[in-house]
Formats: sequence, structure tokens, C-alpha cells
Amino acid sequence: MDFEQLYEANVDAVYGYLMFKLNDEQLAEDILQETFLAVHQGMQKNDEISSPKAWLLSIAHNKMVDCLRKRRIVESGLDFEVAADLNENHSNVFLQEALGQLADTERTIVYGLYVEGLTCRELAQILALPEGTVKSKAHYARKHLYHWLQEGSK
Amino acid sequence: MNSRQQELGDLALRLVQGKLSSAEKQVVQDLILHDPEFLRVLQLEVALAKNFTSVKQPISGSMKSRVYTGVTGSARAGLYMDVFRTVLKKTLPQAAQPAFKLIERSVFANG
Repeated sequence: MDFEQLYEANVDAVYGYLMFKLNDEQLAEDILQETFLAVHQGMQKNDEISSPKAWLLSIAHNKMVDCLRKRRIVESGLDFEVAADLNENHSNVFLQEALGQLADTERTIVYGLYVEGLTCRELAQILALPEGTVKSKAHYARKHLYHWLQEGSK
Repeated sequence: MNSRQQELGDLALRLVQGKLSSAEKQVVQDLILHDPEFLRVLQLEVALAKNFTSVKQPISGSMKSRVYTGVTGSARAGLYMDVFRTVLKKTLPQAAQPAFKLIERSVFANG
């Protein structure tokens, strides 16, 4: 796969992920550019990637964490409630509310599972966590969302 | 969620993601026909997947092409810079090398 194909196939997923995490168009664009620049510069070494999407998302995730560290914003300090308010034109407000009750990592995991169709193994790679940890966090988060759906239907 | 619910939930999620193996497809077909608990979990998974479609924010066409041009343009500029530097080093007279090094430090360091 050459760079153009890789970009076309995955740019939407990487941007969507960054916007979900940051809710800042300018910052998301900057990190998107840094991510693909790093990929473009190391293109020759990337022939044996089994899941390009998971690989790109892990690069983007690391770039985002570095960037937030530089800005002295700790990842857990991101105010999801504010993000949810700003997102309400684009998103399901009630789902945002349910997601707001989850920890940041759990939100990222369910986003990866339901929006990008990633596996727990791929998410473990992106978040640099053991697969078992991702699985148990995924179960907890899904249980919470099942409950939210069932409550909503009553 | 007990372990059976977890197992059913995982199967239902993989069905929604379109990631079932052919052996799992057989199991799921059987569960859909005979297990109301699986149907309930599957309904929840389908509803979640449907709800999540509104969460993703798509990239605009203009940003997509801007980022692509930025990435490939930076790479090309880096290449031109390398070629330019090599040509200058080889062609400048020996006496001009210290001046070239000063320029290189101030100009290329920012490039």
C-alpha cells in the first residue's frame, strides 16, 4: 500500500478519533498532519503492518499524548462534559451523557469498538495496555451502556 | 454481566462489527433461532452501534486535501533542501565553506 492509498483509507478514522478525544478542530488537524508526516517519512519500514488503521491510531494517540503533555494538559484532565456540550450539534446528546459517566480510557475503548470496529487486541496496541485490561474495561463500559439503553427504553 | 452474558455480548458485538469467523457464524445462527437471551443482547449491541454512528465527526474535504498537501509538500521540501545543500557543498570554493556553514546553521536549521 503506498502513502496515498494509506491516507485515503484511514484519514477519516484518524481525524474522527482525534476529534472524539480532543474536540478541537485546529489541534486535531495539527496532530493529524504530524501523524501522517511521521508515517510518510518512515514509509519504507511499514510493509509488514497487519492492521494499518490500528497502527495509525496508535501513532496519532501517542502524538496527541505528547502534545497534551507539552501543553501541560494531562489526558485525564480533559473535560468531557464540556466536549459533550460542544459536540451536541453533531452527536447524540443522550449517548454523550452516558459516555460522560465513563472513565476516559473506557470511552476510548467503546469508541474504538463501535465506531471504528477495532478489536480489543488492536485497542490494547493503541492505548499501550494489556489486552486483558482492555477486555475487562470494555465489558464494564458495555455493561454500563446496556444499562443506559435499557433505562432509556423504559 | 456474568460470564455467559459476556460471551453472548462478545459474539453479538463481533456480529455487528462483521468480524465473525465461519464457525462463529454457525453458532450465532443457532443462537438467533433458539436463545432469547442472545437476541436481547444482540438488540442492545445493534442499538449501541446505531447510537455511535452520530459520534464520529467526518473530516472535511478541504482539510483532507490541506493535510495531504502539507505532508507531501514538507517531504518534497526536505528532499529539495538535501539536494540543494549537497550541490552547494560540492560547487562552492573552499574559501566560501565557512560562510556556507554559518548560513546553513541559520537557514537550514529552520527548514
